[in-house]
Order: sequence, then structure tokens, then C-alpha cells
Amino acid sequence: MPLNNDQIELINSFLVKNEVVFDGVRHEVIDHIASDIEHNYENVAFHEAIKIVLQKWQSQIKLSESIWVSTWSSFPVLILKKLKNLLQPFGILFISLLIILSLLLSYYPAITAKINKNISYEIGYLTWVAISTGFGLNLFFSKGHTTYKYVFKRILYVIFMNSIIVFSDSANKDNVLTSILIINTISSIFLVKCYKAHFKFLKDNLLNA
Amino acid sequence: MKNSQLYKGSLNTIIMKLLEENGRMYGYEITQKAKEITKGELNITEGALYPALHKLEAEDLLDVEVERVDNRLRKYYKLTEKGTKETVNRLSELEEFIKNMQTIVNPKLSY
Repeated sequence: MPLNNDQIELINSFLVKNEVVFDGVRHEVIDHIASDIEHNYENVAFHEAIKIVLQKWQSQIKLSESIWVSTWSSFPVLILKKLKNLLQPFGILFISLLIILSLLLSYYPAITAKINKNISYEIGYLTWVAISTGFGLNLFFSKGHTTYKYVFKRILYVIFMNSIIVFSDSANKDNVLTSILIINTISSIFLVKCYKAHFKFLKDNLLNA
Repeated sequence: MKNSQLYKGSLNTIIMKLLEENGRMYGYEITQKAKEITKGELNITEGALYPALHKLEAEDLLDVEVERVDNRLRKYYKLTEKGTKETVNRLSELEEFIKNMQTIVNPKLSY
């Protein structure tokens, strides 16, 4: 027999209390726990069945940290692994580009001079800031708390901080703008992916509300 | 998962194969299907299943559909076009691996 609303809400409250706060992951864990109870513990009292089933999830709900996600916040292992899967490729690409471009522009300043003739960096950078801020605000004020929304915020934060730190620190503005513009544009692939995934989730939820 | 070290490297391929055969599946269903096919030998734990599904989703090999079932939301996974092609590659790699293992473990049978 399917679990009733109160029983589902009890599982939901337990997960929220244990920091499983992201909607998508929480919904699938609720469904898994409920399915497990319905199929395997039909003749056991709910309060006994839930204890047995939640025991299987202990290792996944335990809080942990990762440098790829955040060094000052802890997350349940299950969520941390998902966030790491989404943030690690961005982190690796971002650091690689930063190193490659810094070396390239330091050792071959002629490349920058050549590109400078063709591109207006200020316009390019301001356009990027305007577009990403617009999409960012739309996402921040949207309903739902998904892993994609979190990852979008983290990537945008890293990109903005990098732009500010590098730009305010450097003597050669043209070189810096070149690298910032290239890094930001390429990193936007990850922003677009997270933005689309977040709104797809909201759309699916709305259809099933 | 039983003999986790042996199965671990093939878990993603097992999931992709199940999705290829069944179209779309939700997490709990995948664990039950794996158990049913292997007559209880392969028990995919929650701790192994969801990180694997999330990784495949992050790699754009799986797509997600959410549906309301009874009084809760259910997340279905299905292969993307890229995922379908990748399944073929991974299955052929796995078959090759099994063949090589057979040659090492039981050389007489390999002839």
C-alpha cells in the first residue's frame, strides 16, 4: 500500500533536518525510501520500517566537505558527490585556462598586441557582465533550490572574483582583459548548462504539481 | 554491492545497459531490476547508485524526467543520444574485458 501524505512528509522532514535541502536530490531519495518501505516492509509498522531503511542511508547523509565545492560549508555525502561532479570540470578548465593564458600573455605579449587591434575588450567584457547578470538574477529569484542553482552561483562568484582581483592587480590591462574575456566566455558553457537544467527541473515540477 | 571491487568499475555500464533495455527507469527500480536479473547476486547500494547516476547525468549521458506518482515526485532516468552511442562503446569494452579475464582465469575454455 502506498505511503500516505503524513508518512511522506515525515521522510521529507528527516531529510531536510539532515541538510538534504536540494529539491531534486531530496525528491529522489524520498521516492527511493518510500518505494523500499512499500515493497519490502509491507507487514512491518511504519515507524519500525523507516528506522531500518534510514539506516541504509546513514553513510550518504553524513556531512562532509570538498575543496571542489566549498571549504567552509559541509554537505551530505550524496549531495557533495553530485556538486563535485558538476563543479570539478569547471574548476579544472578554469585553472588550466588561467595558467595557460597567463604564461602565453607574459611570454608572448606580441599576441595580445595583435588581437588588440581587432577587439574592444571593454565592450566585450561589459556585454558578458550584462548577459550573465541578467540570467543570474532570473535564476536567483526563481523558485526552487536545486544543485544547479547552487553550482551556477558558485561559478559566477568565482568568475567575478577572479575578474576583480586580476584586473585591480595588474599593470597591463589589455593582457588582463584578454584573458578574463576568454576565460569568462568559455566558462559560460557551464553556466548555460546549469541554467537550463534548473529551469527544466522547475518546469517538470510545475507540470506535476 | 556484492564483491564491490569487481563490480565497481562496471557499475556505470550496467546502469546504461539496463536503461538501454528498459527505456526509462527510476533509482529504486534499477536496484530491483539488477537484483532480479542476477537472481539476487548483484545488490546495488544507494551509496553506489545515485553518485553513478548523477555522474552520468553530469556527463550528458542521461536525461531526467520528473513525474508525480501517488503522493510524491519520481525522477526517471533515460539515455540521451550521446548516452546511447556511449553504451555501445562501453558494452563492447566490457565484453572485451570479460573475454580477457576468461582467458586468464580459465585458459582451456578460451580455445
